[in-house]
Amino acid sequence: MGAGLVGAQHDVLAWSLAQPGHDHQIDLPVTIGPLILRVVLLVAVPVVAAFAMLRGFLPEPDRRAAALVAGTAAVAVLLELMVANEIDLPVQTVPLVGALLAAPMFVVLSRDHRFDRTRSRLCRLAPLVVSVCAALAFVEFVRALAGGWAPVPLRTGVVLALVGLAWFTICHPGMLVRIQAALLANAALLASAYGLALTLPLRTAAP
Amino acid sequence: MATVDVPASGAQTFRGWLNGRGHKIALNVFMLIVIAHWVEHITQAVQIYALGWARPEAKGALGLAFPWLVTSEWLHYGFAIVMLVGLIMLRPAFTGRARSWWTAALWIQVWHHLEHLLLLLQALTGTYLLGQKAPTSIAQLVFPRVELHLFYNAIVFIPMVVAVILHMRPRPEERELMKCTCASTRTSASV
Repeated sequence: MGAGLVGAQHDVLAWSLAQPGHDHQIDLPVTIGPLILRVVLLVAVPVVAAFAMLRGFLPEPDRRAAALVAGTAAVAVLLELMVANEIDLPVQTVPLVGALLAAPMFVVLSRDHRFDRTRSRLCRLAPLVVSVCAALAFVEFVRALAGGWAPVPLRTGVVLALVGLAWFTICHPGMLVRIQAALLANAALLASAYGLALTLPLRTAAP
Repeated sequence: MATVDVPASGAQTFRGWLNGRGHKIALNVFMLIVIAHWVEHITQAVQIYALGWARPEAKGALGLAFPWLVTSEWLHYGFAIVMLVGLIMLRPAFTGRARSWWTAALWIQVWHHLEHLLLLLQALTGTYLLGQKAPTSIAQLVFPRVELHLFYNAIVFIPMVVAVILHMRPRPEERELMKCTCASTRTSASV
């Protein structure tokens, strides 16, 4: 298994170095390769998903835990966007996705009393955002399934799901939202893992 | 009852000095670095828009002599870190309105730094955002890079300048809270 992993790592690195236009603007002869992105993604998505699934069984998260989960979701979205070649959204909407990920972080981290009302409004809005993101993500997952695990809608679904799960950290959820978030978390985990597997180079059996 | 003086740690002493007697000189040095960097971005924009140079040739002033200054993602990221550290370290001495403006500059720089971190990560891993042909930041998906970073530096620099002006001309209540020597001893302006 270890040899297989090392072989896969070597393949991924070789694949990345063979990409056309590898004109990175860096003045040190260091390339760590794309494998690290996939490893971090494999850690980040389960952390966010586990939070959503376990929230109903644990005490309400403190500020640090909420910040950690919302931050991890933001990192996971960035990594998904790096690993994906394209998504099922116009690229101009990506800054909007960034803003949507920054909002829960702001709610969790800001302590300025001048923004109390804004934070309170965002918290009240959170269940709606979770529901909208969940609906859009499930549409993308169904499209991916209908297209034979098509990678573009699959990754788009994961991005939308992670945005929804980031907002889940700041809402005071009812039972319905908790169930919705848990289902979304499972779907995101499955889709993210499958999407990552699709990006690995195919290994053909030796003759 | 005897009291024991607990000596402050080196870091606390330095930060105390930086936001006390040393604030004026440290702020001047920091602003000089920031202005020099911003001038380079403006020069680059002039080369493109006023002189009609091709974008790859427009490397600012120092970049013409040392092209790696423009092309090195490490250097760009390093400067973003210097900016961030400077904004954080010098912040405690700001009071009142000046502090609000300085904090605004700090948060904008946090985002600017994240954009550079994303660029550096792409350069290091050889994996570019959404299959682009070169390292691309999030806002760069919408705006061209030269204009974007000129804009970023402007929106960080403007609140910094406002903060410094307000810091040097504090209201009486703001002056009372100040521990540094940045404000002139003349009668303060009530803006």
